[in-house]
Amino acid sequence: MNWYIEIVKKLSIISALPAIWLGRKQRGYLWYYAWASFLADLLLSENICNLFPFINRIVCGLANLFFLCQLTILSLYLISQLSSVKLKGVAKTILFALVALFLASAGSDFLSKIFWKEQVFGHFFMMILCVLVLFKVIQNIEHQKIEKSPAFLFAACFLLFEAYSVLLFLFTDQFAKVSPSVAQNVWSVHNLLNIMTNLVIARIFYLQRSADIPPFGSDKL
Amino acid sequence: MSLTFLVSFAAITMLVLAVGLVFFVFAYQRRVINHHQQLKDFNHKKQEELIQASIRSEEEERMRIASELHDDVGATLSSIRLMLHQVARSEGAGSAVLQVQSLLDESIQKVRNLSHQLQPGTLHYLGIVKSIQSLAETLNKTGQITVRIEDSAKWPGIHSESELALYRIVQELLNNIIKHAGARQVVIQMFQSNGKAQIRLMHDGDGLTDISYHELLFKKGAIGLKNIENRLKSSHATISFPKPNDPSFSAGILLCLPITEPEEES
Repeated sequence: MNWYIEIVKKLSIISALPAIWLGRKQRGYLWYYAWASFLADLLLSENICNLFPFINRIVCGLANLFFLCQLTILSLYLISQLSSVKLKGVAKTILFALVALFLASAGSDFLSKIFWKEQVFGHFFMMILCVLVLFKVIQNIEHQKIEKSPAFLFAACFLLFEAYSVLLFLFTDQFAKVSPSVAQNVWSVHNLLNIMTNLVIARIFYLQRSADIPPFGSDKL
Repeated sequence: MSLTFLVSFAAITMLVLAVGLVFFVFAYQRRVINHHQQLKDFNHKKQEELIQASIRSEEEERMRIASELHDDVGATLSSIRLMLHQVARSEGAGSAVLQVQSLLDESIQKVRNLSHQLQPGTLHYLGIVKSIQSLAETLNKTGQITVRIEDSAKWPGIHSESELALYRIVQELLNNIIKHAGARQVVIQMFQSNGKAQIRLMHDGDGLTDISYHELLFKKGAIGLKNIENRLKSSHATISFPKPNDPSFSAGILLCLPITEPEEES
């Protein structure tokens, strides 16, 4: 099974490239997230860590930093899709509280330790935002075919990704205790879902080329 | 926590989420279909309102023209006739004067007929039965066709706008029968049956069928039939072309209108 895991790891690194290419003219939140995802997968890969020892020393910090980028960019984007101004205010407050809480929990160990369980709150929060965006999609029914709705594609895909991330990060220690191969397989599924999210972002950029699709994911930072 | 429990828990959670998303897609599609149906109903309603507004403005215009013809042109022609009569009395009625008087009498009668056709005065005061009887008498005088009214005693009271619509439809149908069907005899029956006010026309000319009526309706031109169709829609009446039981008639037309309470006239 090792060859399967290796293939998935490699694919996970390059899966963000189509999104980076297709979104190069539109740019915006999702494009920057695609770049962050690509760089994180690249720098956190075993080959790069072995090649550059200084990266190996700060790999935990990079993982924490990627989580903060992911939480901030994706949450701000999902919040911008909500209709209610009050709800947006509450969501932004919770977001900033989560970021502050994470940084406070990490403290001086930010560079030396990956805080899996602390990340669970952030991923759960993004799950809730995805559900709220799905509610908005079904209320507004902007598109005749739901598969052409960028909001639905984004929210549905990231809902699955964040749900798995919550489960994985909650029980990552237990999986590691069972055996390294089980932990590897479990993380492979996470990589597969990562590939799916990157391809969905590419699909969203592709859909936005069509004139009748309203902009989604093209807001400038 | 055992591995089996963890894996099962994770698998069930992801499965529930996936099934939830599938149901979401079905619910979304159902809402899209309902939304389209609502739009369709709304457009249909708007179209009906437009047709009714168009018919109403047409009738108002006809009333205005009829009124102008009768009060203005008709009165002027009558004055000219009176002056001509005085001239004829004082100077003797030469052949030219007699000819002018005859032409004037003819014009006055034509103006009266036109005014009456545009806005039947009897309809508002005496109802549709008397109006159609009056129309039949006018057509009988032309000698082109014989129109007979039968079984009109049981005609129910209906809304005045519906009566006007039916009158116009009968008027247009009679015009078409004279122009296109080549009929010499027409019988009109007006009665109530199965909770509907019905008008049956039977004639001995070339008639339409339900299929040929709908084919002609979509033909370029066919303005008369389109007007009939618009008036049918606005009054919620229906038209059909049943073959008459009486062998002396070759074609029939049946108009059906659901009965509503007539409005109270002020």
